Amino acid sequence: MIYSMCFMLFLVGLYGVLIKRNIIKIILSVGIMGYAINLFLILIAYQEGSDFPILTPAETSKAMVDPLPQALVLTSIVIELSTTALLVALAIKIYQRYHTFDIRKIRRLRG
Amino acid sequence: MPVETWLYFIIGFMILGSIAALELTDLLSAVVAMGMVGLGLAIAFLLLQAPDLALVQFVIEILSVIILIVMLRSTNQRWEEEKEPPAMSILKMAFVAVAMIASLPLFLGLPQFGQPLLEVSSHYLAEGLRETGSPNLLTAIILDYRVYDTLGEAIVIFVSVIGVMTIFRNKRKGGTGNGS
Repeated sequence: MIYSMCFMLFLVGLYGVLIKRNIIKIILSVGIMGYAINLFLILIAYQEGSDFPILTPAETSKAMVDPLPQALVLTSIVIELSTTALLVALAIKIYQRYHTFDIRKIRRLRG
Repeated sequence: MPVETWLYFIIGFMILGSIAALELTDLLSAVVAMGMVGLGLAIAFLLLQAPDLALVQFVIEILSVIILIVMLRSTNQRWEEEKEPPAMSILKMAFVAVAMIASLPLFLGLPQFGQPLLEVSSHYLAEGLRETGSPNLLTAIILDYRVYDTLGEAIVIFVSVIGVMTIFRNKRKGGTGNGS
């Protein structure tokens, strides 16, 4: 049930990519889809009533959540930032050349 | 209250925030709504016992909001003027709804929320401290077991920095009368 709610968040991002014509909105939608994927992986990793995966000197015998998806999501979050930065650079470049953010108007080639 | 209730609340908040980010015609407000969604994700990570991720998400979210606002500033576009014709958008929304309904059986095959499959990770949890000497098992995985993954991450960041630098260098070249 909670997974399907997370999938709804993904679909909101998909809706934005499909419907919006403004490049900034498309960049935001791609970001939303990335958030949904990261959240889904961490939801999979969660274990009921358990601790974060850091060993403390107190040696509590409590179970820990799955650390592997967390480590991979840590990588994915940072890569998402670099993706956003690259998309923003491309969008600025497109704006300088065509003076619009509308993806329908940037079709024609300009020397 | 159990964690699950809080998570429903936070994910609902994130869905509303992202719908607001997509539907607002003021682009600056849309970017701020996007930042709200990312901070909600940081809180969800805290609830799901991932404090390292919450810290990283917090910092990265603020950085990405700053990048987007810099973009709005350098292009001077404040309002979204483009609109999809209603017939097409109804068709695409129907497609999204069909995708939602068709994928619902997919989630029945997943393990129950709160009971993960700890297959490889149980070894990491049991032997991580002895094999790597790091009490933080996340660090043990990132910097020891899966270190090539982290190397790949560094390469991706490096390539994207090179890409951004290349994109902006071409602009100056075009300005000096290169003919392009």
